[in-house]
Amino acid sequence: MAETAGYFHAAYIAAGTLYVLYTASLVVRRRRVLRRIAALERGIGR
Amino acid sequence: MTTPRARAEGAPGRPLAEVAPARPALIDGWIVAAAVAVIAAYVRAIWFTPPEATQGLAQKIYYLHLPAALNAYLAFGVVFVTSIVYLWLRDDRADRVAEASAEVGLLFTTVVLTTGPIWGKPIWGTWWTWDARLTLTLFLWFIYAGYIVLRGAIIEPALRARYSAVLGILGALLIPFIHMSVYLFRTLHPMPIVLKPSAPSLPPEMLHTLLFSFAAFVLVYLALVRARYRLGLERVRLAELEASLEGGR
Repeated sequence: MAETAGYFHAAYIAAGTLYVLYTASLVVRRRRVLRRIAALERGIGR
Repeated sequence: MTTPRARAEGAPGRPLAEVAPARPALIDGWIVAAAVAVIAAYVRAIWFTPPEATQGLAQKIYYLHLPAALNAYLAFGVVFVTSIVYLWLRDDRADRVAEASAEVGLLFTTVVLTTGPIWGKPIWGTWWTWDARLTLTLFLWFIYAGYIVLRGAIIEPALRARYSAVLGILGALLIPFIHMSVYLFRTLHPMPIVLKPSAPSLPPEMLHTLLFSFAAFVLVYLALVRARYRLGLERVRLAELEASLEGGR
């Protein structure tokens, strides 16, 4: 059997990192939009 | 006693604007369920599935690579259908689903294009080769990266939705060619061993792990599309608020 454990670990870490980074990007973008909406709504309510 | 709804709407005599708006959860139950499913798929693939006899542990990259490829097909298939629906009915919801699905499909294609070369290096002896399957998948990535850039470049919503629907439909037409490329051209990429007319040629324990992993990543697809759709909806609300403030000046 070929010794390929390093590639296997690299692929699993790379894929996991991509999924986590994309989810984090969604959270960051959403937080930014929600903060802006809240700021505008406070402005309208005044 | 004050009900939660009354609390959200503001106590009597207190202006609504002073009440802090309810903060929506940034990570919802779908994302948590998808994360748990992916962790379970990783555990099953790493510790509870035997390695293949000749490739060794690198063969286990299959349980990430194929589900990512199938979910990319699914995602761009949804872009294809919802883009047609948008052009037909001019329904903004269809455009938002297409936008969300294209972005998540691009993520899955990125995973395919990352895990593929990492698997190819020990088995083929090279990270990359310009064969039909790999090159067409790279073209698919460029088309949907272009789709995302196009959406960011057009400000007028109806124009943006119409142009991106056309590109979304044309991009998805590449998928049958990508799937058939291993039959149509001489390529290094192996023939399908699951998605083929005859029965899958995988031992049952490997096939079950593959199906489990595929189901987990379908859940990831649904959770991310849902979250991205919500972001799109909130961006519309923000644009409306900004427009109403501009109009009020």
